[in-house]
Amino acid sequence: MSEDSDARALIAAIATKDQAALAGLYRLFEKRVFRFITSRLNDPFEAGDILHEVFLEVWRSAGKFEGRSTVRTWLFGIAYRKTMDRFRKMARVTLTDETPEQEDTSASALDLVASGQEAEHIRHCMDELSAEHRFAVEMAFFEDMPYREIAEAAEIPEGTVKTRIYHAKNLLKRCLSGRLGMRA
Amino acid sequence: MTDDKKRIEELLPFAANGTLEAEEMAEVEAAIADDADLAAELAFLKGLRDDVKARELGTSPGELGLARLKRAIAAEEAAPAATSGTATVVRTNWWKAAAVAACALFAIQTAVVFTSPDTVVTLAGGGGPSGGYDGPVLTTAFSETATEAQIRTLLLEAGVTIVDGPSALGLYRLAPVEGADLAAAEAALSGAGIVESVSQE
Repeated sequence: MSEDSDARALIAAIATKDQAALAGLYRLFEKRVFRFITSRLNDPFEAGDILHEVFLEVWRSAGKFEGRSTVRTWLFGIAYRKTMDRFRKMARVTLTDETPEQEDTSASALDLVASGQEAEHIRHCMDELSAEHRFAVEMAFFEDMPYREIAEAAEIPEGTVKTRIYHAKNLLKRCLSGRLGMRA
Repeated sequence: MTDDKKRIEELLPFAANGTLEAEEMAEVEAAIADDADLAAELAFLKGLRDDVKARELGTSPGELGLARLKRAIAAEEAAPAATSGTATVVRTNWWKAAAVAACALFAIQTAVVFTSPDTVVTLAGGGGPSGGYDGPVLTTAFSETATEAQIRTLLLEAGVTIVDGPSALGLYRLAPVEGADLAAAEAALSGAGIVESVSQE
């Protein structure tokens, strides 16, 4: 069985208030949902609280899952909305897709990553990204989600998903080039 | 950069993660064959994907989180059976729950004395106005392991603010912020894993 068919069976059981099924779904997705939330918040305590709320909502609303998307998309969509709500309440983020248009096509930055070197620099530059950009990169490269699925989870147009990752990539390259320049 | 090249560049991350439709993938492959820059971009994105997958982002709550979830569900399912307006005890630590209940009882008694038309005696009690605030409050005990960040987050979510406390017993009096509903706030607090007891005064 695929992950999604397993998850759908669990959701159907959760809708009948089966706590063992909830535990099964939790164990299937908990680490990934936590990682997803953490990629936006950088605060493991808050991320833990949001994770808790996500699965409580799953418990309450499993019966409303219509099966039009994958369970993963539905679940990450809940996590996305709750994380955004937390951001808004704490006024910690300005939602924008605007980024400087200056591009960095430095061959050294491309070579650096393509060769698998300097992971520390890459991690530093990932942390420098905005929450929106980091989220998009995480969904595309950790979860390997298609852009349509990311758009559905985040309730944004497909074009916005592509643009965010495009800008994130350029910002990463610029950051890496800057760090290489500092090191030289 | 031409619009066509930018469109291909925007598809490259999804070529790197292998999720493009066959038609889109064929278009990307054709563009890469004619453009060394695009090929280098794809190699960059594949390297980036490898790094993201290798990146650690902290330890998830795991089984502790599941246990917390089960406690919250049990509390939520027990809530409808509780009598409305009475103390809602959601966790152990009996002495804190008892202290919360005692505060609520004292507040009720004080209110009876104040509202009786024949009464000429007034009692100064600890259940009176809290920090200058004289509206309804939720007397709340948090678990000893609750962090400031957790408490702050919960208060923001529940729409309440601290008007008094902590007392010597570690009790806080919380009032709803403007526009917030006291009953909804009580329900939110009751269901939170870091709250040991909550009662309306």
